[in-house]
Amino acid sequence: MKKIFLSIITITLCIISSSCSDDFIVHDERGTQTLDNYFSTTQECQTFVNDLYKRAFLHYDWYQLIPGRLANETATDDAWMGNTGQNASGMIPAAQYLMTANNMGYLSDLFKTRYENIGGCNVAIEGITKSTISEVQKNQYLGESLFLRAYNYYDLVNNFGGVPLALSPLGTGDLNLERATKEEVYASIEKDLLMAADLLKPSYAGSDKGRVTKWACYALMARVSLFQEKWAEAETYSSKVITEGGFSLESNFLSIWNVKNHNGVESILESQTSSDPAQQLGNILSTFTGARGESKDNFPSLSAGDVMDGWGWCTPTSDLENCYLSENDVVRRRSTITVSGDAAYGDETNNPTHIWDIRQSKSGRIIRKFYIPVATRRTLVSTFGNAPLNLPVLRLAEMYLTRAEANFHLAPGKAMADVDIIRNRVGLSPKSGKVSGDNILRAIWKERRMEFAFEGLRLFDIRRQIDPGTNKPVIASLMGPSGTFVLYNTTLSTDKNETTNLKELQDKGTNFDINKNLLWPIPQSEIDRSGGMINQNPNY
Amino acid sequence: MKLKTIWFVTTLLFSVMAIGQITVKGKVSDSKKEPLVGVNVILKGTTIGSITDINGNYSLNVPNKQAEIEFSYIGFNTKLVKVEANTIINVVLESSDNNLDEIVVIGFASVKKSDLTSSIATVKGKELKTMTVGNAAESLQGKAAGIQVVNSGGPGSVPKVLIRGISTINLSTDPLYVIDGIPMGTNINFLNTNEIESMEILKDASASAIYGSRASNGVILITTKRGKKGETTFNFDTSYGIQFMKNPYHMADAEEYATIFNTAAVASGLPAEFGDPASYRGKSTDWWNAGIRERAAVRNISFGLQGGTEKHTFAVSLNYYKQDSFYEKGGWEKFTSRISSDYKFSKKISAGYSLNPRYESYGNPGNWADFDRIDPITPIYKPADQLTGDENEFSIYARSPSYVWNPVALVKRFKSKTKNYALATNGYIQITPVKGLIIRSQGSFELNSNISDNFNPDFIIDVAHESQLINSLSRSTNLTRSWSIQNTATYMKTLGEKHDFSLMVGNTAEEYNGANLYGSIQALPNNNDNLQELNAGTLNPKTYGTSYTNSIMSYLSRLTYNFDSKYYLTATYRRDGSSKFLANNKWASFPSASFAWRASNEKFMSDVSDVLSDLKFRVGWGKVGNQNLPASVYLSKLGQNFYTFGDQVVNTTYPSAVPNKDIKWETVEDINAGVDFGLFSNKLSGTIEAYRKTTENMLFQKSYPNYSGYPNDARIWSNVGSMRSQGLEFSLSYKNNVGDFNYGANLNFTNTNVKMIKLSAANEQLFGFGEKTLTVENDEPGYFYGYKADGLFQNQFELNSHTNNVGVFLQPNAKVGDVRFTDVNGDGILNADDRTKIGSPWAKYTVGLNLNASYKRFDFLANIYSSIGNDLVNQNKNELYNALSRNNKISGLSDLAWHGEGTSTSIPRLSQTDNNQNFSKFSSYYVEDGSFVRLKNIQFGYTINNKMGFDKIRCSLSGQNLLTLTKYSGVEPEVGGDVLGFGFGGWNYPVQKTILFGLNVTF
Repeated sequence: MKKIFLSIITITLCIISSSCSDDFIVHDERGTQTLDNYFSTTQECQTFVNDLYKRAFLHYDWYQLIPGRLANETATDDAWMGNTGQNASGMIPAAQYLMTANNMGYLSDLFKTRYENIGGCNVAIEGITKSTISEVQKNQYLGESLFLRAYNYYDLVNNFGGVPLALSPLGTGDLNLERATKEEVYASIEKDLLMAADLLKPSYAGSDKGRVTKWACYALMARVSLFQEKWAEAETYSSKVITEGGFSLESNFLSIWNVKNHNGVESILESQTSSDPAQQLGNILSTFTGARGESKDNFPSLSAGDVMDGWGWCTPTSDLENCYLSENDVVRRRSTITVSGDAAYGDETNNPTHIWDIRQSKSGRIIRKFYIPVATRRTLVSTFGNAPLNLPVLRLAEMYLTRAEANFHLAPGKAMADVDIIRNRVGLSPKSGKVSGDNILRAIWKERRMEFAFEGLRLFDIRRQIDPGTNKPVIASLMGPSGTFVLYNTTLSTDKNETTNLKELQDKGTNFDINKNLLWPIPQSEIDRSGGMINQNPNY
Repeated sequence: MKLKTIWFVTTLLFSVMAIGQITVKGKVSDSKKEPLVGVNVILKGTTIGSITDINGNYSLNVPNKQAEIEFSYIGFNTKLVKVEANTIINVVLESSDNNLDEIVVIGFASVKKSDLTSSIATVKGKELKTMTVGNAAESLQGKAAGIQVVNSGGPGSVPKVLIRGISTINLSTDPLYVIDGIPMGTNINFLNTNEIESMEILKDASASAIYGSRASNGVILITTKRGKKGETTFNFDTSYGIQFMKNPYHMADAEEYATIFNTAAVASGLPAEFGDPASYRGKSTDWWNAGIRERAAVRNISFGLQGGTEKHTFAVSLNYYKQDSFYEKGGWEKFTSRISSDYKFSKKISAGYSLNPRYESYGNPGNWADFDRIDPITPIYKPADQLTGDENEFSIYARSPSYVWNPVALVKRFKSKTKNYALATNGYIQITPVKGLIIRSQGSFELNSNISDNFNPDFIIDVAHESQLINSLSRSTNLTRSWSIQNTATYMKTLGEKHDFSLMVGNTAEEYNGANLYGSIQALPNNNDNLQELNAGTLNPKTYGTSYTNSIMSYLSRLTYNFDSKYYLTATYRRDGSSKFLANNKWASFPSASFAWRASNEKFMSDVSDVLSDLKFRVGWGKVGNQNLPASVYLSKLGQNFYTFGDQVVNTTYPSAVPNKDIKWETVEDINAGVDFGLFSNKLSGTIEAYRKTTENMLFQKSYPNYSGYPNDARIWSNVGSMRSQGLEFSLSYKNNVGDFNYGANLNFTNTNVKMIKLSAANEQLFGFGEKTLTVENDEPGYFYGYKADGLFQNQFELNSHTNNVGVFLQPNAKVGDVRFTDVNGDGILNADDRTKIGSPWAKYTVGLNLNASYKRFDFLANIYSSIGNDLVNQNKNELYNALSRNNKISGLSDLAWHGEGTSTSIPRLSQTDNNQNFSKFSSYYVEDGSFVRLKNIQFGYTINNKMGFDKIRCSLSGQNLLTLTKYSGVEPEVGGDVLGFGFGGWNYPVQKTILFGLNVTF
C-alpha cells in the first residue's frame, strides 16, 4: 500500500516539476487574429480595408451615425423630428437647438464612431505601407484607407469644427493632442484625397464594385474645396469628375433611389447594401424614416407582407414641399416627399394610396428617397435591417452644382448652364438668363436643396453659405426667433397636417443662436477624458 | 500484524486494571438539555477514556473516588469533575463560541484559534443555516466585522461580497472562495448552506497572502461537513417559505397618467394629449397584477448522514433548493450532493476524497420593472377591431406608445433556460513518515457543463417596433474543466518544551480550461415545442465557439514559531506565475509576516485572570495580488464582420482590442493590528482591529479620449495608480444565562475610509459610469460628480435674479418650477466646469447586530444589519418624475411636482421638454442618503427531544428582510455595481420579505 501511495506522490511531484517551466503559464487567446504580423497577405489587407468602409457609413446601424445624420436634417428647414407618438429626446437637442455638451441626443456617438474609424484607417495605412504585397494592391488599399480617413474628418470638421488630428496609430503615451484648426483639418483631408486619387483606379468591375475610385477622391475634393470657398479648386475638381469620370446623370431622377440600380451611372460612391438575411446589411434609413402605422388594409393586395412599418422620424416639411412647388418641380418633389394618401411615386400599382397613421406624424409626409417598393418588400425575409437600398455618398449631380457655385464666383456667366443640366433631367425649364446677380447664387443653392434633400448636405450647406444680402450664414436668416422658417411655421403656414398636429413644437429653430450653433459641441466626455487638453466650442 | 499485537496487549492491560474499579455513568448535555454526542470523557492524567453515545450517555471505569473526569468537546468549555461518592455524574457543558481551543482553518493548515496571528473571522455553518437563501454568502451579512454583503436579488443572482471595503476599481471585488482547500472562484451558488461546517474569512494580507495572486479581495475558506466517528446520525432539514414581491412604487392609473401628461404637454406649449382624463377612470390596465405574482414559494430540503469508525469516516448530504418565479415562467432550482470519505490506513497514512455532483437550472424573464414602467392606458390585448384573425398567439397583445414592450407578452414569449451540470471531486493523501512531518498532496478536478437554450417565437405586435418577423433559436454550451494540484510538506517541532516551530513548503498548479459552442438558427416551421431544436431551423445557421485556458502556478512556504504560547510569529512567502501577463510580468512574490503576543498567558497577568481571561495583541503585514482581468489583454485583437461589394457579402476585420503589453499584477499591501480579548471567563469577548490596505498598480479599464481611435469606447486595461483603504473594526460578543434562560449578543462594527493616493499622471482624472463619477488623487474613488442642484425656482423673481454679475441669465431656458443649478466656480457661466463632488457611495460604517436567546425548549435569534453614511443615486427619478418619457409616472406626481410657488422644493414642474435639463444634467437632485437598517432575519424555534423515536425535532418560524428603515426613495437601498459605478440605484431587484417555516429532524 505504502509503496503505491509514495509512487503516486512521486508521480504528482514529477508532473508539477516538469511543468515548472513557464510554458505552463503561457496561453494566448485562441480563435482571434491579432495585428501582430497582420497585413502580410493581399487578403488580409483587403479584409481589413473592407471594414473601414462599413464603419465609415454604418447605414445598417440605428444608433451610431445614421440617427445623428437624421438629427442634422431636423436641425434644418427640411425636416421635422416627425414622430409625434413617441419620446423624441434623441432628436430634440439638434432639432430644437437645445444641444449641450452633456446632452447631444443622437449626435452623441458620432464623434466616437468617426474616430474609431479613423483609428482603423491609421492602422491600415501604417500596416499596408509596410506590407510586402504587390504594388498594385498596396496602392489600392492605401488609397481606399486614405479616402475613408478624409471622409471621416470631413464629417467631423463640419459637425464640430477643428478637431484633434490623429494621422497615425496612437499609443497611450501619445494622447496629448489639442484640437487642430479647421484649416489644418481641411489641409489633411485634401492631402489624403489627392494622395488617394493618385493611387486609386478609375473604376472597378464585378465583385469590386462599390470601392472608392480616384473620381470619388476628386468629387470629395470638389466638395471640401467648395466648403472652404476655394472656388478655383472646386471648379477644377468638379470639372474633372464631370468631364473625365465617365459618369452620367440618371435620366430618371428616381432611379438613383432604385433598389435594383446599385452603383448606377450617376453614382460616384455609394454605401453598399445587401438583403442577405444572414447579415443585417440593409439600409436602416428605410425603417428609421419609413411611414409609421401602415396597415395592410391600405394596400390593394390586403396582404400583411406588403406592410413595412417604419419609425416615422425625420419627416419632410411643407416648407421643403413649397420649395418644389414654387418651381413646379414634380419629379423631385414626388421622388423626395410622399404625402400620406398619395400614390407612392414609382410604385403606383402596388401602393396607389400610401396611407399611414398621420396622427403620429407631424407633417403627414415621409421621405420617398428611402422608400422600399412593395415588390421588394415581398422578397425580403425580414424588412427590418435587410432593405437593399444603396445610400449615395457622392453622385454626379453634385459636381454640376458645385461647379455652378464655383463658377458664380469665378465666371458668373457660366454658372447657370450647369444648373440647367440638372433642371433638364427632371423636366424643368432652363433658368439661364432668367436670374442675375446674387440671385444666381440663390438659384444654385435652391437647386442644391431640391436635388440633395435628405442626403446629408443641407445643414452643412446652410451653415457655410454666406448670404450676400446679409453677409451672414443662410442658417441665421432661416432660424432664430425671427428666422424665416420659424416665422413661416408660426405665422404663415396653413399646412393642414403641420398646423393641426401640434405635438411637435411649431417654433422649431427658434432657439438657434448664431454665436454658438454653427457647430455642435464637442462631447463633454471627450473633454473630460482629455484632461482639459481639448477645448469646447464657443458658448457651449 | 504488529498493530494487532499492540492492540491485544493494550486491551488486556486495561481489562486487568478494571478489576476493583468504580464504574461511573452519566449523561452529557448542553445548556439546552440536548444530549451531546461524541464528547471525550477522559480520566484526568491518563489516556483512559470513552466517548458519549447518541443519547449523550457514557460509562467510565475510574480507579478511586479521588479521580477526576475531564469532559471535552469541540465548541464547548472543558469541564473537570471529581468523582467522590457519585456513580452517576450528569454534566452540562457550556458552549463557547469563543472557545480558544477551537480549530481555525488558515489555508494549507489549521491552527488553534488562540494561536492565530492574523485577522480571520469564523462563521459557523449553524449560524449560516438560520437563513434560507440561494447563496450561502447572503447569510454572511452582519455575521462578522469587516464583511459587507450587497444583495443583488433575483433568483440565481450572486450577492456582492466586500471584505474590508474595496481594493480595486474596475476588477471584480469578489473574494476568492476556497472550498476544502480547493480554490473555486468567486461564486458559490452551487453550495448549499447545509453542507457548510464553517466559513473562515481571511481579512488581512498576512492571512491571505498564502493565496497570493487571487487574494487581494480577501479569501473565504469554506470547510464542508466531514464524517465523525461514532454511530451514524441522520439529519433531515426542510424549510418552506413564501417570498413576497411587493410593488416598490404606487404607479399612476390611467386617469392620473392622462392628467400628468396633459399638464406636462400644456406646460411645454404642446396640445393636451388626452381628452377628458376623467373618461379614463376605471379603464386602467393593472399591469403589475397582470404579470407579477405577489407570492412565490421557496423550498429547501436537505438530508444528511454521517458516521464512521476509527479508520473510516464518511458524510453524505443531499440537498434540493427551489425558488419559484414571480412570473408565470421561470424559477431557480438546484440539486446538490456531497459525498466525502476519509480513511486512516495507519498512523502514518490517511487519505480521503469528496464528490460533489450537482445540477442547477434557472431562467427568468427579468422584466419586472416593465410592469411599472409601461403606461396604464394601453390595454394588455389589442382591441378586437385591430385583430385580423391571422395573428399567432404572441401577436394579440397591444403596443404601448412608451418604448416599453408589452411585459405580459414578453413573459408569454419567454423561453430561456440555463442548465448547469457539474461534478467536482477532490482527494488527498497525507503521509506522516516521521513524527512531526506531514506530507500532503491534494488534487481536484471539476467538470462543469452549462447549456443555455433560448427560443424566440415570431410575433408582430407592431411591425417596426415590437416584432420578431422570423422565429429563432439558439443553444450555447460551455464546458469547463479545471484542475489543481497542491503539494505541501509541513514539519513541526517542539524544542525544549517552549519553542514550537513549524515549517511548510509547497507548490500548487491550477489550470482552467473551457470550450464553448454557440449555434443559432432562424425560421423554424412553427413555434411548436417539439420543433425547438437547431435541426428544425431553415435559415441562417450560425456557429461560434472558442476554447481558452488560464493557468497559475505557485510556490509557497510558511514558518510559524511560538514561544511558550505567549509569543507567536508567522511568516509566509508565495511566488505566483499567471498566464494573464506577458513574460516580463508573469511572476510576482507575495510575502507576509505577522506577530502576536498572548499577554494573558504572562505570569504577571495571572492576578487579573478572573476578569481578563484572554488578551492577545497582533500585528501583521502582507502583500497579495490581483490578476482577475480578462485573458490576453496584451494582444491586439481583430474582430470579424461583413460588408458588401458588387452585391456580394465579403468578410471584414477590425481592431477589437488595443493591447497593453505592459500590463502587470495589481498588488495590495496590507498592515493590520488588532487586540483580542475575553473578559469574565470569556463571557464578554471581542476584537478590535485597525487596518490599512494599499493597492498599487491598480488594474483599471481606463477611458482614453476617443480621438485615440481605440475600440470599445477607448477603454483599455491599464495599471493606473494606488488606492488606500483603511479602517477600524471591532466585534463584541456577550453571553450569559439566568437559570434556564440563555442569552447572547454579538455586535460588529466596521468603519472604512477609501482614498485614491496616487494616479499614473499628475492631476489625472479618471471618469466612470458615463462621466458621472470622478476619481482623483487624495479623494474617494468613484465619487458622484455632477452639478449642484439648489432647489427650484419658486417665482419669477428668483428666476430673474439667477444671473451673473452682468445680468446674463445663467440658465436661459429655465422657467419657474425648474431646477436651479449652482454656478460653483462663480465664473458667471453655468457649464461643465461647475460640476463638483456631490456625494459618495462609500458607507462610513457598517454595523451588524446578532441577538440570540433560549429558554428551555424555546429559542430566538435576530440579525440586524446596517449601512450608514453612504449616498445613493436614485436614477429612477428621471423615469418616474420626468414627463419627457412616456413611461408611467408615480401616483400623486401632479401634486408632488412643482405646480405653483411653494408647492414643491425638490420635484420640478411637469414638462414634456426638459429644456432646462432638470433631468438630463446629472446633479445632486439625484443623490440621496443611502443609509439603511434592515432586520435581516428573525427566528423562533421550538425543540422536542427524544420523542416519537427521533432524537431531536426542531421547528422554526422565521422572517427575513421583514423591516427596512431608510430615507432612500428608490427601490432598494442595497445597491451594488462596479467600483466606479457603485451606488447607482435604479430598478434594482427588490430584496424580498420572506416568511419561512423550518423543520429539522435528527435520528
